[in-house]
Amino acid sequence: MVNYVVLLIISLIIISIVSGISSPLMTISKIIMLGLAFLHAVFAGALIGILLKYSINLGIPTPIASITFTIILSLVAAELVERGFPTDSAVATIAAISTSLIATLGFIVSRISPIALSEAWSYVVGVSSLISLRDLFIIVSASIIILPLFLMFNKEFMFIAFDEDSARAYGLRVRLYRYLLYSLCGLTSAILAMVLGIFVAHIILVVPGVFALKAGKGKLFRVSLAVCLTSTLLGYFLAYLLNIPASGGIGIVSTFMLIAIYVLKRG
Amino acid sequence: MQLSDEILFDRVYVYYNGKPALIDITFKLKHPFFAVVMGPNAAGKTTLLKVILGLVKPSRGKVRVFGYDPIKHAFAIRSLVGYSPQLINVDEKVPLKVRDIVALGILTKYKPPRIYRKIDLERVREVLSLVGMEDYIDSYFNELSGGQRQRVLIARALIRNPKLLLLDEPFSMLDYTMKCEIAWLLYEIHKKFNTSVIIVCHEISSCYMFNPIILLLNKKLYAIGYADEVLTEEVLKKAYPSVTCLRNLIVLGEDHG
Repeated sequence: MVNYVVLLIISLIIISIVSGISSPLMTISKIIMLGLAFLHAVFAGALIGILLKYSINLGIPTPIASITFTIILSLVAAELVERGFPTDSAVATIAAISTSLIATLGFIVSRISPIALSEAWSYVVGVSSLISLRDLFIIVSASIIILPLFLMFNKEFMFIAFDEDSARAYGLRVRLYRYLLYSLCGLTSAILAMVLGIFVAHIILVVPGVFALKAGKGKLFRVSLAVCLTSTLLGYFLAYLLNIPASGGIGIVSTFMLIAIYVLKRG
Repeated sequence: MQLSDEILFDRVYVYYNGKPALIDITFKLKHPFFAVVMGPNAAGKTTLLKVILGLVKPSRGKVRVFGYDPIKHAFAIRSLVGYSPQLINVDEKVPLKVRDIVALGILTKYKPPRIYRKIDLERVREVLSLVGMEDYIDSYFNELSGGQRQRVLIARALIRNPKLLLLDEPFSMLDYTMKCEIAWLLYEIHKKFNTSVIIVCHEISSCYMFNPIILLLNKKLYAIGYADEVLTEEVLKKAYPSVTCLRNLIVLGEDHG
């Protein structure tokens, strides 16, 4: 029991840091909707993994299948935008592919076995109630990729968001940075959904960035990190008090924080 | 490759999705020049700048910027050309400070992580003082007025000591006094540093006193010459179909006059 609590708290702190850094960059780059579409891809990828595992005994861990599928779709989205399609078209494409797969594969997985169904369901509500050492290992590995890259290239992402034509004119390789940004967002979505479930991941992906931009432009990442850590840790204790899943508590705290900033910064 | 001192367009065509944006554009501008590209909306003015920058590849024809092909020699072009985009294309919600925006022009010369050096910061201060914005180095871009924002973008375009300055609608969203101030600033830069300047604009009145070279564009290049030669009713009628002449006053149509 102690182990489980420790694993969960470590996971929550790690995903808070990842989301705290990525959420403002996604908000500034106007790809929050794409990030949300990636959450659909995460679930579709998980269903592919579950199907492969239970129907043909292919031993790919479900999170790896989910992450791989999400990154492939994030690259598709980046290429669509680079080819001149609006971001909304990329969102629609990712959502269409993912939801068709979810509807089809979800039906098939539900008929394979109750275990397969419960594994799929864990992606909806998150593994926060039964996190394992393997899950933590995947989260840490993904964070080791995400955080240094976001920190190293955040200036470039900001320049491109500010004025893409000038970024190109001054020699930034915009295509490459778009591929990188979208893949990192896909990876972020994947680990958030793994721990918190795709519903609450929606909130944690959006709230910190919006809150930080509203609260103060000078302390963007610090505010976003503070919001993320507060929502996840306070949410966990709320969930403990109310005897609900941790992801539920986190969702409640995040939503209240967002409402609070709108009330405080009204006008 | 032979380096030269001119901007050359030779029978250049640009198409977007099969629709023409520029048709058979041929001209030559000898450095240093002070030029204004004018024409109605969707005349291809911004496309012309993007062709010079190498951001748009011509469908046909030859472009040379000081002897360089902008597509093949993009790196050389970037060190020779400074670019200031339309304010409308800049996302002011991105919380960047003036120093960061101006420094983009030099930071892209380095490999990531792109970190300021002392000499870069000095150069940022230098160009900001040139455009009268040195006191705003630590301000956020979205805290500035329209005219101040335009000055910051001009400072960024100047940071690499460009031989050619390209400015897309630098007078948009500014009142007349501010337009004249920016026009003066650009003309001073042209004179002081021998910089060639190409300004895309609808509003010519703030530049008219400098007698710039006018490129009258509406997909085709209808005229090229000094303002006092080109800005006549007969010439303007070719590019602006709705031009009207009311006793010494030429009304161009749309919202330009």
